[in-house]
Amino acid sequence: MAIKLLQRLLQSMLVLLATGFLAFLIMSFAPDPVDNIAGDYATTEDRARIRAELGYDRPFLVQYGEYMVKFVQWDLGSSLRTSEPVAELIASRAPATLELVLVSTIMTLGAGIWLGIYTGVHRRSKRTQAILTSSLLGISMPTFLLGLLAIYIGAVELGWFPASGRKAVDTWMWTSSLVSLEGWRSIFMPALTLSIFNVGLFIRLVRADVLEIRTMDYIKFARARGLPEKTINNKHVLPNAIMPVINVAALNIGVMIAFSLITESVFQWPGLGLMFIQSISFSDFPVMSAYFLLVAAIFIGLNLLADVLLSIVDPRIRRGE
Amino acid sequence: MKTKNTWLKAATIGAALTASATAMAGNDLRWGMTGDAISLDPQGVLGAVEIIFLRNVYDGLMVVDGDNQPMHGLAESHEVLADGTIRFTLRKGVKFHGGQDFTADDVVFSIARTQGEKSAFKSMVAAVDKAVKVDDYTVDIIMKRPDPLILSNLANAYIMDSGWAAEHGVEEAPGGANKGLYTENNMNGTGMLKLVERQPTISSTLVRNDNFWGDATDYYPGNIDRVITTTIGSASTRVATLLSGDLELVTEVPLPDLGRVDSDSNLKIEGTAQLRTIFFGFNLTTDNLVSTEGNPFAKPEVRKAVSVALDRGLIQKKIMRGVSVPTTILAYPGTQGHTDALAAVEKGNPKKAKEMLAAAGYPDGFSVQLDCPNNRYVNDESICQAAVSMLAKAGIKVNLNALPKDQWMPLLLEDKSDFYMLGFGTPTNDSLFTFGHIYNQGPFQSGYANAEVTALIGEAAVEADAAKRTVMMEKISQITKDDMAVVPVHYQMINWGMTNGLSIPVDFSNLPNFRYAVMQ
Amino acid sequence: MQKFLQHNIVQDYLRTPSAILSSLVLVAIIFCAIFAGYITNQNPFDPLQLDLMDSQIPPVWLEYGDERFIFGTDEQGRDVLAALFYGSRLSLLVGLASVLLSCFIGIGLGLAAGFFRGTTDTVVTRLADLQMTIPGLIVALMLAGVIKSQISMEMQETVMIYVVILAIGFSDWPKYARVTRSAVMIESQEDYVLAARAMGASPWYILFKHVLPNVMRSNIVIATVGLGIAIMLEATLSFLGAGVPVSTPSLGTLIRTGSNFLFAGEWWVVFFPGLMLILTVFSINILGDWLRDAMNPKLD
Repeated sequence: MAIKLLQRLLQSMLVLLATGFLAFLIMSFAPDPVDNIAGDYATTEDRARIRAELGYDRPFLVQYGEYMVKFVQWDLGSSLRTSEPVAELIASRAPATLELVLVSTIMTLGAGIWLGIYTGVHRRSKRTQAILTSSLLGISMPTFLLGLLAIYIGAVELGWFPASGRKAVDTWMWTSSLVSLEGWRSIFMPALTLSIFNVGLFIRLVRADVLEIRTMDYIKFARARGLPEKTINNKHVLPNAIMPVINVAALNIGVMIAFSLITESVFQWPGLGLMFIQSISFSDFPVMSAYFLLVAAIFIGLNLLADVLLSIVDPRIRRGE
Repeated sequence: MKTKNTWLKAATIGAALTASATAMAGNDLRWGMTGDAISLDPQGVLGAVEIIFLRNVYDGLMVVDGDNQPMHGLAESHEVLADGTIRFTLRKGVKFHGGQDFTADDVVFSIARTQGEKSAFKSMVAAVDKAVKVDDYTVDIIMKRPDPLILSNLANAYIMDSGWAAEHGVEEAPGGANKGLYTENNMNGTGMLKLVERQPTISSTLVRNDNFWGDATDYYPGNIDRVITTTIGSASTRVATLLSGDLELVTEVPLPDLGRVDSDSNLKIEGTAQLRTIFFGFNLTTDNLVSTEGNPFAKPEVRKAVSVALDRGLIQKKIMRGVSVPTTILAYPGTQGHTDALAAVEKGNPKKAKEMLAAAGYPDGFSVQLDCPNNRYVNDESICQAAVSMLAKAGIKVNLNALPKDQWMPLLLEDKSDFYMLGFGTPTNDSLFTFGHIYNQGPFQSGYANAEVTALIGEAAVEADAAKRTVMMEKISQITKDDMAVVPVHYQMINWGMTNGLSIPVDFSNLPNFRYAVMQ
Repeated sequence: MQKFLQHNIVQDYLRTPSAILSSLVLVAIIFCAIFAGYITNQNPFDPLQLDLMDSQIPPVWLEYGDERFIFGTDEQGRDVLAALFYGSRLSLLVGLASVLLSCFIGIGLGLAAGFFRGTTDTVVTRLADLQMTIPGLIVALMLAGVIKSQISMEMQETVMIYVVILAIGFSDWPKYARVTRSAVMIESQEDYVLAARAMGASPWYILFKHVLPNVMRSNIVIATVGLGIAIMLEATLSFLGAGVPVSTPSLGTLIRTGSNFLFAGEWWVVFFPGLMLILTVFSINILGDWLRDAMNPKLD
């Protein structure tokens, strides 16, 4: 099993390297950032000098080689936009995104599991139909439209939530928006916006699980023994339906981190996604490539984790069959 | 949305109460901006946002007052010596934010840094030979040549502490590029505000400097304790944030939103004309354009036809929602070279334009590409779209190429654009800077050559007599208008949205001067 | 295909009002998109037909409305209704094309992997792994952003659509490949395939005659849902400014430009494109939902 895992790890590394190559290849066609850096009134000579200083006047392969060598040494370089080391920049932006994804995941799981079980248990009720239709509407709503709507209603018309930005307080580990009322007010609308699509998805997922479990033999036995529906649902259906959902939710975190960039850009939420969007418009190569690799690493890592967990659970895979 | 439900109203008031309960003590001014400063180095990047930061935190020998006119800053007084040298007597007892004493050494060091090869502000001191220390509190600025605007320019030569610079290895300006220089995200000036917190591209916090050298009447009539800048790139989100009460000031309110902001009971709009002319330019450096055969724009008649086809009044009314001043010359209102008669516009006339094109040898018109920014000027892309439609009716088929600023600018700088929109402002409160850049020299010069204009620009640069200089400048405007070297559209207006309790001078520079901001 | 119809899908369809309604809405939208040129009185993307005098007109039922422009006009004097139809044309086109591309790649590779196994299988699985490491949105953003900056506007009008189609299409193929692969693996163990093989039929014959029709079922469901996702992804890309150019806007581009007028009282410029987008995707999803149930009667 150790060998199998090692093999898997090695494969993951190769995939990551390939992704890195892809990222650099795409970026090699981007316009260089010199004009952004130099400002409006810089002369042609100024621009040429800056270009040479940054090394963007050299051939592609030379730049790529240097990038890879530095990457292997975990030197991500400095942002061309803010001058900060990219590793520090990511560390300072990550809490915003992680908190957003965390709150959003909790919202998603809460609403998704509750409504999913309800619609699974009350299969044909009017309310179920309404919930299912709304969930379908939820996955038909583009996140950016939802965000605009939320800002218009929640911030401008009602004035209950700030329209943009993140209110955060320094804590012992990172700046958090989960320890103050202001912080919660600022995170609520972005997290809600990010959740809607997933809630729709999870309702359907949980419902399908519930429906399937209720056809299982042990439920039928329980029913035959005369246990009340409520006990069956709480004791047997619920725990069995939740496990696979938690699993999917964990894997879904990668997707949410990536897709949070839409929400972050609408709400100007200062997380990794906004950092990426800003870096694209400034041609901030070091930040772009680091983000690209980071997301790839998170996806690969989560998949690897899922595989490992699965192999522990499933003895056939453990034996290498 | 005038008919809100009562329960909504009640809820809104409730929310407002909780919001005010958590508001901070003191006078906080939260300012929402489109993009953050790229560099905070005092000689790093010469851009509008950068200058807002710099001139509130750093001071020059001169500083600007509420009307953007120069007054004495770190210099107490000055006199002009017989040979043109300017002798500055420095203020005593001034301290930098870091506690260092301000002396003549800092002036000599900072002027040299501003003149340095990598300085973005070297044009400000182009006429200066060098700064020489006379004693600890006296400095001579020795001139290479006379510069009528030297006092204004010196307000843009920011003074930093020489010891602090040496300590952090920043004796030289970064040269635009962000290379991890300490000064790019840290500031140590003598100004009214000091930088206490910074998250680049997100927000910065500036607090009042209790040891500020200036007296309240002249230098610090305002009462702001803290300025918090927040970058909000999306225009609608920025306005939403202002409307929801989380900002006190937004300096770029999109035109369609002006009405909404103004009608809000807590907010107001204040505006003035800006020193920025929006115009269409042509590539006159070549006989063969890329996107069309030959170079139709080489003929002045064709350029004039373009001007005749444009309905500037309609653009002002519909696209700019009345918030612009149409013009046919580059020179800014209130500066030498501008008269209302010169700037007068006529109604667009596609028919006449078509005849003019026919007379110039293009009876069937021609097609050409227009390169237009889409995130640079107020409604830039919309203006271009409107122009495309107007020119189409005169027979010129225009393919609109709308690009973000960073992709559009290289096209102009490398003469790769046949036909473009450009907006040009001046950091000097004078139109000569713009004449020089557009008609004569500089990276944006598009190949227009007129010996008389070149000569006039050279003479105006050294002419100290205001009356004589005015005649020269107006002549430049007249000649270039007759030639339609470029086709001006309008002057941009400045519109700031702010809370009713805030008063801050809104001037043509579009740069908020926090020293004069008063909050109730 | 006989097996495909075995569940009496037509009867099921006629019994499901939501399916009928959503497909009717979709047909109407597609009709308007295809014949936009005939049913609108303005081509909103021809500058010659725009007149600034007609700009900022509200919808016809409001004060100052103009009956020429039922849903009003935008800042340039563009008919919002016409822009809507032309915009949906582009959105649908991009959605359909990218789903077809995903299907083509995914089903092709999945069939090959499931049928030939061995090295082919390993290569396809690894490729899918690589593709799955980066969400399509991010690849598309980078690709579109970079390509957009490198080509002229005239090229952009034609090229960007293909770039967006490629970016979306390429990001979604592993789904089809995985489903197809496992379906093939199961089907190829079925008696009828084994029998055909024993009778000496060529692998290609078996593949196309027997296996392919059977894997199509699950793929059709995925493709329907995928169409909705592709249309949303295109709109998102355009909203973030990395999609098709403004001169030939899709629904996403219309929403992006329209959102600038959200607070100006000119709500119709953003409201109708947004509604159209939601309506389109919602109808597709209802249809996909019904299809899934209809083709997989095991649940519910």
